[in-house]
Order: sequence, then C-alpha cells, then structure tokens
Amino acid sequence: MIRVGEYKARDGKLVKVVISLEESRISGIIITGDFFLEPPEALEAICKKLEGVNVYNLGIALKNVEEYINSNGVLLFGVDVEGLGRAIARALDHESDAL
Amino acid sequence: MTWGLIRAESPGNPYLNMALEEFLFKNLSNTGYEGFVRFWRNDNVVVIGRFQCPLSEVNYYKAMEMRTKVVRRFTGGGAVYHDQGNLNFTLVFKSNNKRLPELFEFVGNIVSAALKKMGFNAAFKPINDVLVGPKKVAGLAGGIQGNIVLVHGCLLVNSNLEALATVLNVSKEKLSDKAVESVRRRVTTLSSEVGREVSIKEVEESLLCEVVTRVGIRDLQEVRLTKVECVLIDKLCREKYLSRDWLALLCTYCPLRAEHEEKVEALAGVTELDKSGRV
Repeated sequence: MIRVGEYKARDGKLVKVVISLEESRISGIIITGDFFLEPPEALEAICKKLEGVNVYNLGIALKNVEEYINSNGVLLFGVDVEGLGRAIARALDHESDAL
Repeated sequence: MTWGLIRAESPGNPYLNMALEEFLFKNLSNTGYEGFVRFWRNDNVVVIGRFQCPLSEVNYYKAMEMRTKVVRRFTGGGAVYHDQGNLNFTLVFKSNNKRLPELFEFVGNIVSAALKKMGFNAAFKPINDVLVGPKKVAGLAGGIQGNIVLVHGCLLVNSNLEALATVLNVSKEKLSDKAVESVRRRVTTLSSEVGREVSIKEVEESLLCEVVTRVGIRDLQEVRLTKVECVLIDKLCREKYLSRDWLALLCTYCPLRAEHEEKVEALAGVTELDKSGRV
C-alpha cells in the first residue's frame, strides 16, 4: 500500500513523503521537498533510519533521525524532524491519491 | 585578492550551465581566485531543487507541449522557471560561516539593496526569497563544501509569468501559508512592477556594483575559461546533468517509480540543445 503525505510549516519549506506500507511496517520511503540539507547525501541515511520501522515505533525512529542529524553535523533547515514526522503522520492517515 | 567575473552562459543548454556552476563550486580552491561572481541565463527550463521530484514540480503535459527542459540542481530549495527574461546570479567564495540561512540573508540583502537603488521597494524575506512589495521576484539556493560556499539565485526581470505558472506545479500545501492561492499571483517581474521593459543589462550592472561594495572586492577580473576547463565542464555535463539518472535521482527508491518511470524518461528526453550551448 502506497501512502503520500506532505507538510509545510508556516514560513518554512515543504516536505513530502512517499511511503510503501506492508501491514504496519514502512518497507520503503522517499523524502522530497524544497528544504535544504547539508551534506545532501544525509538524505539517504535519514531514509534508512525510517525503513523497516513499525509505524507504532515511529516516535523512536524520528528520535534516531534527530540524533543522527545532531551528532553528524548535518544541517537541515526549512523543515525540522517534527515537520518530517507530521508529513509521515499525514501519509499514514490517508492513502495515496497520486496513483 | 582577486575575484573572477564569469559571464559564460549557455541558455539553450541548461545542463552545461549547471555543470559550470558545480565546476566553479568544486574548483575555486584550485584557481587562485578569492571568489567568483557569475551572471547567466537559461531558456525555457524548469530547474528543480536537489531533493525534489520532477513529476511533483513540473506540469508534465504542459512541459512536453512547451518542450520545456527539466534539470536538477545540486543545491536544495524549490523549482523555478527560467527563460531569457530571468537573470541568474552566483557567488562562490571562501567563508568560515557555514550557516546557509545567514549566507542567504547576506546575498538576499545584496540583491534587495541593488533593486532599491533601481527604485524598487525590495526586501529580503527569510528563508530565501527577495520580494518587491508583497510579491516574490527572486529566490536563492546554495551549498557548502569545506570552507567554500556557493549561493545562487534567479531574478525575474521580464520573464513570461504565464509560461511560468503553466509549467510549474505548486501544491496547495506549499501555498498554505501564503495569502494568495496561485503561484501566478505570488510572483512578479521587475518590468511589470514599473510598467516598462527593464533590461537584463541594467539589473546585472546594479547587482555587480552592490556585490563589489558589500563583499569588499578590490580587484575583479573577467575570467575566460581555458580549453581544459571547458572539456572538464562538458564532461560533467554529459556524465551528470544530461543523464536520466540524475534527473531521476530519488526515483530509485520511490514506491511510485513504476507509475512515474515513463514520464520521467520522457522529461529526460527533452534535451535537444541549440548551437549556443557552448561555454
């Protein structure tokens, strides 16, 4: 099942996620948007932290993302991890209409 | 220290234009220059941000109809439409400041000061916009590598805003915190603000003057790229920016790739280049 969600904070940037969901597990995820991220390669590492995660453990996975960002000097701006979490939550709330 | 001024551009080949951007960013420390200022244009192109999906940002059917090329930047930020009425500007320089928001503010203030001197009611609006009155006229993006920073932006001088609004997709979520309901009403050009045709040349002169003053450039030399540099830029263009893989960068892992594949291939196929496409 494919789910899509997007979120934009006021005066922030858009973050959009496309998630493939197998029962309650995120089997695949991509994160797109007009945010800024340095180094850009960090996006793949962030996605990896969310892959395979049971949606009931999403809070822990997002904390891992936050920790990865803070401890590796990654610069994410225009959106924060909370915003990313909101986009994912919106995706989980409704099925994709992009198909 | 000497700064280099680069006016090399290839409006019909946006891939080469982008390759030159990356080349300047990656090679500043090998050149002996303190920094580069560049002015350049594209023609009928959507430039998407590093982390964007081409099919989300581009109206696929209109882009195919208008033969609009799509190129992915190496910097973050949002999709923009470039025609020859849009002036792109780039600053590459050494900096200990590695905070992109502050670098955007620095460059955004240069742009707004230059526009103010031309009589526009311009202001930088964080994160990365320059407004004239309430409307966006320029946007910025940038990257950091070691102690080298690049900030580039595009400025709507006399672009075709109908074409811009036709070919760019903007989601409702994106406009959710804006007072307007469409991209067409959110942006403006310098020409439409003053009711006369503002030339690219006068804007470029005003911007350059402000850059020289605010950056404190004492020596500025026009740079002619060497044959070897042109070969390297051309190689980067062919291997990266002209490749389907770069345009489809995020598609590999996308759950929607099967549905999107054919359209991304088609967008990547709109690559015929005109003869002015040489740096």
